[in-house]
Amino acid sequence: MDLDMITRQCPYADLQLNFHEVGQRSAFPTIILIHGTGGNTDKHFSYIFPMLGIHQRVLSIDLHTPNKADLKVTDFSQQVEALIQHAVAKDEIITVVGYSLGAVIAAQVAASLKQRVARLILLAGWAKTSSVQQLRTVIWQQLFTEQSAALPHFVNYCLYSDDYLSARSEQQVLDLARFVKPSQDAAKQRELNYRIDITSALSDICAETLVVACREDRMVPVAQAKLLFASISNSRYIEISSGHALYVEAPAEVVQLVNQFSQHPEQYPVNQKIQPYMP
Amino acid sequence: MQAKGQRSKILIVGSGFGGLGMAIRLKQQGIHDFKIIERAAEVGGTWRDNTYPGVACDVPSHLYSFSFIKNPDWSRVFPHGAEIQRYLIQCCDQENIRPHIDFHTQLEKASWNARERIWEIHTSKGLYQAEILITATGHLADEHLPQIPGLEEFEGQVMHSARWNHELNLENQHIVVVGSGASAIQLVPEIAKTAKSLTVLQRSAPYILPRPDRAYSESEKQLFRKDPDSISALRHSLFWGNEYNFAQRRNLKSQIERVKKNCLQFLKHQISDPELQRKLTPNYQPGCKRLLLSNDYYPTFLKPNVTLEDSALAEVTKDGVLSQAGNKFSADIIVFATGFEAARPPYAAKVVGKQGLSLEQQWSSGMQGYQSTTVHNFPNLFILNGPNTGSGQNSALYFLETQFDLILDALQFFEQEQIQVFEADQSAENSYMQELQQLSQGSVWLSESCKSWYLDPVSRQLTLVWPDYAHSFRDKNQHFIRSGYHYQYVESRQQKLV
Repeated sequence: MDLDMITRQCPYADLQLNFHEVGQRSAFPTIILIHGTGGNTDKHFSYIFPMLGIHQRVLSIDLHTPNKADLKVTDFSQQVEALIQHAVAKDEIITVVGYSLGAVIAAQVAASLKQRVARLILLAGWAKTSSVQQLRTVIWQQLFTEQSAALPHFVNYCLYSDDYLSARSEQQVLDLARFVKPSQDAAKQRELNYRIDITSALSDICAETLVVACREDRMVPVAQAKLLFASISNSRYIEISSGHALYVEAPAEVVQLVNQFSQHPEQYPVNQKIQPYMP
Repeated sequence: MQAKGQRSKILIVGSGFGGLGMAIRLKQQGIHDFKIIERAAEVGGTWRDNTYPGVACDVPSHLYSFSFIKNPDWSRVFPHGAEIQRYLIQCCDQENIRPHIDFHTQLEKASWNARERIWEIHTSKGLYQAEILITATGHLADEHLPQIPGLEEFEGQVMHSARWNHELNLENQHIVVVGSGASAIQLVPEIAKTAKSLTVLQRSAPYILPRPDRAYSESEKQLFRKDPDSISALRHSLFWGNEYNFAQRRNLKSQIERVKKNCLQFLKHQISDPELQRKLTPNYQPGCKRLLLSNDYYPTFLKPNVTLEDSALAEVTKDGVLSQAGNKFSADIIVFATGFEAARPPYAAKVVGKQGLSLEQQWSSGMQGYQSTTVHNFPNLFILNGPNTGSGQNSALYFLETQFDLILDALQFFEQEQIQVFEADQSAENSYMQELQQLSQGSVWLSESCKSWYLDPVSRQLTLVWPDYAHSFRDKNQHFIRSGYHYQYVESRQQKLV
């Protein structure tokens, strides 16, 4: 089986949403991937998406950011629900995997589609934005408005762990700035990030859930992920060694966690903290 | 009447990383009734035998060591062979394994005696008997010497990289190295330092990346000693860094292109001559063969005494070699850096199962096993480094340690259930292999341009390498799968399928 990916479109309201597909339907659940703030499939899942396709069918959506004030989580979660409706057969078991803002959206989808979502994996996600996260968003917005040259460096400082950055020379760290291209869509998503609160939806989730926190995450500290763990009934919690950019710092480990949990959730005892295997 | 030999519950063949590690783990579990036979005079396997100039490991030292005997004192990121060998001797002595080892004892034939339910192991030192046989002879134990016309006419000296003759003086000699794989790229820069002339015969160019090697500072070593968790964290990060590279083996185009670009940039950075660049540019996809790491291989070809012949060896004459391109090179010494008998391990001819067939006969169309560790028709046999346990991207020790856990799990189960004989179920084995062959479809190893030693020479199937992430080998095989075996019990002696 090769890893050829195809891009398709899904109708949503009066739009056509882009989504990508890889892998074949198998004995394992079909995986739906939801990217994070300012991202898309290529940016956040360029490694994770195709590699998950080795063992099962995987769909990854490129979210559309509506041009309106007061965005809500449901403005995005409804896009994912439309994708499921459009591209997933009724008898197909589903695992929804979201990263960062995508994890918030994934939790909302699992709460809304209780009967459809069998497994839920929340990567570096959170339930209610804290004052520290709000402070970071305020700094980001100000730097963005000023078109400050410091913005890409600030983003990278927040995105990566100390271990990741300190393994590089000063110049290499500064060069990372060229990968940061803040957009208007990202700015609008950050307005939403400032006031996320999905705590009331969490009790509606009945999917088998794995909460993955990044130990050195400066954007979503582990305490935030622990709140998800505490509030979702059938959940497990694991911490991995990474900054927020787990798609750069720990992509192979994420592939393992998603594969293992999606395929065999029973091997993770429910409502417990899981110790990562040390080779 | 049955011949009497030295009897033990378990007999292990070999005392490299596999045999030694297995012995240590057995002792840790309170199992002391085992014997090791070792053909040489010392433990160490590959690292005892490979002493060629420049020999080193291409897996970082903190990952290329047992998880149950971590070593804070590794001198550098990539250890030299001698340091690994010292580590193995230290492990052996620290865990008091030496009294279990019979050195200078060569396996001649091991046969399953179904009536007595015992392995009879004939060796150069006499007969041994054991309830359970564990082969731990490694992937890289027996050197591969190609059949070359005229070799017997050669008047100079010949040696294989794995059997280095340290009494041979290489200074001011005309030397030909055959091969350009992992051993060659380590020994070529060393030989070039003193040879009068050095010619490298290259069948196909390897992909090479910079070797991020350096010595560990005293303070780093102090931290490893004071805080063993820091070693675990380092191992963890090295392991997952290697796992990432599986995407190249799996033929993920973006990753292939990335690594190809990095390799070719490195080549251009080190070699500016376009003709030499052309010769050193591989003609296959990266990942098909192991990616090599070296900072000094390419620059060696800039030396006036070194020649790269991008053509394989065709013939040996009495005073030199002839390449397939028809070029002649004089030689006082020929070094074969031509690798090992990996796809068809020589031990397979010596292990005979219940049907009177050897493993080699049973594997005539390619190695296969269940859980990569056991084989139907071969009761009470565990094979360390068995079929599909090689890794294109990660440490071989990770696979070995998984097999240790599988075997310990099995032994505990046999003890509990009073099982005297186990044998892999043939259909379970076939399903396991079918799954692996399915996983290997689409991998770079099976791509058209790939002529890799990972493939079986007859079936062209992937029988040596694990075709997935290393961690998935552990997910699948860390436990002995009870339902995949037939058993005979101590009391009832009735065969039944659990």
